[in-house]
Amino acid sequence: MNKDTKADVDAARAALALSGKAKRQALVLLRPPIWLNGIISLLAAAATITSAQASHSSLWTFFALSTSSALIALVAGWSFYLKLSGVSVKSPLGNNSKSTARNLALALLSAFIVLLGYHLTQQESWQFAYLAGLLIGILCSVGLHKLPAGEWISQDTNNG
Amino acid sequence: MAKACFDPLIHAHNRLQICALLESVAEMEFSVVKAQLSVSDSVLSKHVKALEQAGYITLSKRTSLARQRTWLSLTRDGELAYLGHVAALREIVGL
Repeated sequence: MNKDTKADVDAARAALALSGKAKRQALVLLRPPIWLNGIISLLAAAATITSAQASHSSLWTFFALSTSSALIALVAGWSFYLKLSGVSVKSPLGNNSKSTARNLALALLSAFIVLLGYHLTQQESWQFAYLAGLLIGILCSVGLHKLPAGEWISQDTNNG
Repeated sequence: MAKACFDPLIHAHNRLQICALLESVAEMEFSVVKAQLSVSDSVLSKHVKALEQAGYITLSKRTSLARQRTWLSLTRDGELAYLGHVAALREIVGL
């Protein structure tokens, strides 16, 4: 093994750990604080519940629009805050293929839950709206905490 | 999946960390990278210059809120080189 161009196993392991640590640092910078994560997740859950019942009355439609607007404003605000802090977020579909696939899968799963919640609420019972809201809230909370850029943040990440 | 290719330029600890930091974001400001690496302006500038000359990162200076800010971003070549280097390290380790 050429010492000038190759590393030995220990040096390679140390370099991988260093790279994993730096990558984790970058991803943690993108993670919103717990209180903001909570508010965004609650708003996502509320938007799901209200939109599932929106056809019942104009008041539900008003609440659905209000919560959705507040949700979009908060997410845009967080992105703007990050930019002011010196970190510019990648497009959800512009990262590597793995994170793009993860983001797409999350978006499709969320859309499926929202639509299923709406359909079952109209056909069966209002309780499905709350079930869909709970699922979306949990998904949003876990997604923002563990997948802020489509890449899973683990304690001992090693570029895996 | 990037082809495994050991890159001595990226292998230096600070340069490896710079590439790792920039890989997950679109752009990161010079001062944020400096804080994450806990190095001085001159040390970071030296490494950034080496990476820029290799075409792995790009620098753009923009004024925001009456303050000049320098943004760093990984180029497509830089991303491929970094991912290839990480793949080469994983091969050496046997992962």
